[in-house]
Amino acid sequence: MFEKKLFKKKYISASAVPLWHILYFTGCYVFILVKLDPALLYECQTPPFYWDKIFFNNFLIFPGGLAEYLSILLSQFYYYPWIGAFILTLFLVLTLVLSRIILGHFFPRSKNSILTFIPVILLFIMFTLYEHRLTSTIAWLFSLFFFILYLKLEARPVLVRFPAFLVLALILYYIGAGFLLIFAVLVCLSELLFRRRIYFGLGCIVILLLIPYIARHIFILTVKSSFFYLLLPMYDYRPFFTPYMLCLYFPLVLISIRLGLLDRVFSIFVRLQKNWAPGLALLLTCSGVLVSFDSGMHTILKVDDYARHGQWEKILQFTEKHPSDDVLVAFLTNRALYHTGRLTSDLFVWPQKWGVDGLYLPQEARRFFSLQVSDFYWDMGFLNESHHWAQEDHTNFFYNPRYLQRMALTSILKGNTGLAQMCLNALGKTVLYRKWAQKYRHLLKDPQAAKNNEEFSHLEKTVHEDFIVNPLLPGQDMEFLVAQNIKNKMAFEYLMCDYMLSFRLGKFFDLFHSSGYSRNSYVPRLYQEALAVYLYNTRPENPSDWKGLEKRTIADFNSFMNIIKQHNGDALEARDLLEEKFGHSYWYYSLFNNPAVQEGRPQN
Amino acid sequence: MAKQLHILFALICLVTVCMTGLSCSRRFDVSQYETRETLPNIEPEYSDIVIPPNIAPMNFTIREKGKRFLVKIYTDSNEKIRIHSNSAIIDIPARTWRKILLNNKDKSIYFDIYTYHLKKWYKYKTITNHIAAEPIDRYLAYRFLRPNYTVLKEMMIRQRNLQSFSESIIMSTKTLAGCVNCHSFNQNDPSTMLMHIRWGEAAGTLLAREGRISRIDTRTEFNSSPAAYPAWHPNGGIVAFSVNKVYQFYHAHGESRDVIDTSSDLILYDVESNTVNPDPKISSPDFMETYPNWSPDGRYLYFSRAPQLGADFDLAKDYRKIKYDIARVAFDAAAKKFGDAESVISAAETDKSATHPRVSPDGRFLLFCMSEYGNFPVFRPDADLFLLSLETQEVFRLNANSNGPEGFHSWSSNSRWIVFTSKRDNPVFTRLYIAYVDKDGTGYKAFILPRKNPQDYDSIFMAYSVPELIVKPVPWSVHQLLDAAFDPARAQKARMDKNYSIRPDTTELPDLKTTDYP
Repeated sequence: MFEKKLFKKKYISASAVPLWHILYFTGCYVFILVKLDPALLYECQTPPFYWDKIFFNNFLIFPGGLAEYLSILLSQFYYYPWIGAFILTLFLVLTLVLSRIILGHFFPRSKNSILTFIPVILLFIMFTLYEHRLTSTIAWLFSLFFFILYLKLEARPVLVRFPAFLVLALILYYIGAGFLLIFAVLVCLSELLFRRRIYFGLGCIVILLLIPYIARHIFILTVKSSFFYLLLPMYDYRPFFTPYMLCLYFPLVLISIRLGLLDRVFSIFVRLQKNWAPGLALLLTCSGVLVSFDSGMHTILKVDDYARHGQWEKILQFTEKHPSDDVLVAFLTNRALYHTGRLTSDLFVWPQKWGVDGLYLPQEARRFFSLQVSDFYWDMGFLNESHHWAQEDHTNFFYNPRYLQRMALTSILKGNTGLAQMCLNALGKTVLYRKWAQKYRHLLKDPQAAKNNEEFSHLEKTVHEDFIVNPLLPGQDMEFLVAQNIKNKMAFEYLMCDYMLSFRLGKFFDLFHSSGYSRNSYVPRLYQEALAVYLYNTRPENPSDWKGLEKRTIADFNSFMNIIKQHNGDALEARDLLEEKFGHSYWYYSLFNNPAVQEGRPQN
Repeated sequence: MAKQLHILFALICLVTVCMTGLSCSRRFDVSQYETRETLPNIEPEYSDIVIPPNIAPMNFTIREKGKRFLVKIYTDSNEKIRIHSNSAIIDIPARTWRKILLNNKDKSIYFDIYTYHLKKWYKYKTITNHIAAEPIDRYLAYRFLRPNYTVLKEMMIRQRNLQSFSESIIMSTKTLAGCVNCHSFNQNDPSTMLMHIRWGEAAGTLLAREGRISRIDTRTEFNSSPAAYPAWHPNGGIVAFSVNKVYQFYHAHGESRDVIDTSSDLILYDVESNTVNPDPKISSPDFMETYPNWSPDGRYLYFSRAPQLGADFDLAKDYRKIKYDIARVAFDAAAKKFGDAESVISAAETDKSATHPRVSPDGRFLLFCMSEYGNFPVFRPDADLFLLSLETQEVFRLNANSNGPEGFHSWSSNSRWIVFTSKRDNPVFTRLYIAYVDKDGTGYKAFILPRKNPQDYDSIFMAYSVPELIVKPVPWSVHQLLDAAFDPARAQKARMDKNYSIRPDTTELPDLKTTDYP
């Protein structure tokens, strides 16, 4: 009877645990796929991977290189969200399996407890940081796996165990660099605390110090990197202690087991933990993810992803729903406005708090978002600058496949088939861009076909004569581009917006007239608004200068000014009303939304 | 069961041995073939070139259609290598190659290439190359870096054994977070060498000689910029440097990147006394002097110079007007005194800009770059290498040139080989080319630095720069150099030579945001 009861109990517990595990990991998968979106992880990291010996060799020349290689091999599949989510979930499952084996070995009672789930939760929290690379996760899992291998030798004599430890430590150091520390500490603790082998434990510490020391004489490493490369977190995790907790978790658990702390905890909460384990795991996971998920970053990456795929309408829809103060979002939104033909009518529907920087990105940001800047110039047909910024990207983010795509195209169009061939060959060695390379390969043999290609038609009419590019004043380059070809629509609209945003309305007015706009029947709404301000301030006598202004614009302008007058000339007082009626106008931007006002600087 | 397993294992071994034997002894029968009257298309283009007798195997890829390939390499003395390959990549056996080259110095070497395509063998016209009598220096030190426009990332200085494919790192920025450049050796001997580290804790000039390494801060009251472009005086006790203010800019059309100096001077650094000597003869306020190089007897200092830019300099209008002469000044090493500067190559006469003078170790030739303007030929598509005979004053354009820009260069210690950077293959990533220069100063067609896998260059998105031929490997390990770089006990601050005062600097420089590094 008793046996039957026991069997029944065992059976229930054995079947119930996997079920909630399955539910838990399915939940993780869905969260990663839907909320986190592996495509955005790809957007953030753009892991470059090439089936190429030289590329592989780059990872053999330093400890931790193999973990990095494996990391980019796997994370390139973030490109396909469902595979990316599967890979990340697999890592979580693997963590649980290894955790169960280790804890089950030292404290069998904990095998199905929440204790085995804590590393999974910590790792899941780390996964929600878009910058998180799989490298450290792989190295950490290797350190746990090697520890389990070591535990298999537990019954063997010291003369077998110690050399085995040494070999495993050497291999692990080469694969995972600083994660040797985790492995060595775990082995040391298991020998010291559970077998009372003091000399063995000391031996572990000596090896732990010796391997990085020797490595420094073989590889090129600083003292710090020889001990801690990959181990110390490179990114700002939220909460910041998550990666430290993950690394310290197993050593602390071993110590707690030895001190009998877990025994006591388990005897007190034995019932509680059994019944509440799934709920507790869920609660901890949800609260962790709530704290760690960076919705701001999610917005930036989402917009960047849309821009990369030319989904301009989606950018506008998304940023209307999820406003962001980020300058990259402002820059990409303005690009989207241009591509949807709304730049000259709806520019101020999105508050231009960054002013001109929102058009071109500020200098410091350009160095980091160099590929986005390259894209911008590509759209404009400014090949040299597109090429220049792609090169900056290559220096920053070595072997980025998107760099290779851009270089391949600019090189074909500039007649540099040697470089184009190099880029296409390299892309041919990738999983994701092989077809893309194939598509453009024929252009190498027939450069004329590139010139006749509709995709590149906008590049034909841009720069005919050289000028010196001013990296500090992109607006000046727009002036040169427009001077060479006033039909360069993108350069023209950007320049007009530049003049508006920087309040250089005299130049705006000159360009407006020289472009022949005043002779055209339709003048975009925002141009009219800027003209109204200019003419109001300068009050020209020549009636032809007023051409281009519609009666409605004049009436609106008068209405705008009247509202201020009604508030005794105090614009601040009238702000709410003005925002309600003219919030999307140039006039409102001039008074309230421009960077000078935002920063509290005096305005002209 | 165990017995059966043993039999199975023995069988597997036997099959493996047989397969290996068969594959090794595989020979293509090319008794019947069709002749093609064209040279085969091979990459790199190793044809009609002069090669050093001690160069590593010059592996290549056959760019002709075919499923099988046979390459016969032979000489007039009938020494042969036959390579049967199912791959178009031809990997020449190193030992036999070395033997053939050494036994056939100053003789021709022939390459017959056969391809098997559509069930037929084709034989192409024989490629003939010449093995020079004189070897090239065994090692080549060079800078290996990403394109580095405004962003600077990891770079290294490496050395390659030219007799094999082995390479090692001399210095890397992996642990420095800065920039390493301007490696320089005295008379092709790395026992006396220096290099610069820019920025960071270890910034300075690493100077290694007589078995010890020190780090010098070369900035003084005269030069706020650290020294660059070094040239060792043959006595090993003096180094000529330039100190430059550099401005990088970009073009809207054509080659994207460009650089000018807005000011520069030469200085002498005395290694023993740790002093900097800014002699007005080489640091005139009227000129921008740069790229120093000593004659092998140490009696002359050659350099490039252009009129100093003034405050009225308008970059957009005037950058093409910057043209450098090559000048020289006599030098008395005992008194450390200079004579007056004299023009060697005049920009007024050539209407070109001549830079990077390097005198051959035998003192007979001056190798230099010439381009339309400026002092950074690697960014000028028209930049070519020229040779001035110091005996006859004749100037030759080298056959080693190409349509792309040729830039930094170096002589071998026997004056018969030059190595230089070229962008002939692509306009971004410079590659290293080697060319023979005979005793009359005739330069021959250049060839790219051989690699074990000839297709590697397709995958190397890095630039090779500042090649320097050296007779032996650098005697210091990267760790010794790094230790010295970070060791405060080995750091020295250079002083101004008391015999020189700082010249009153009245020059108004152009209003450009310059940097201190080239």
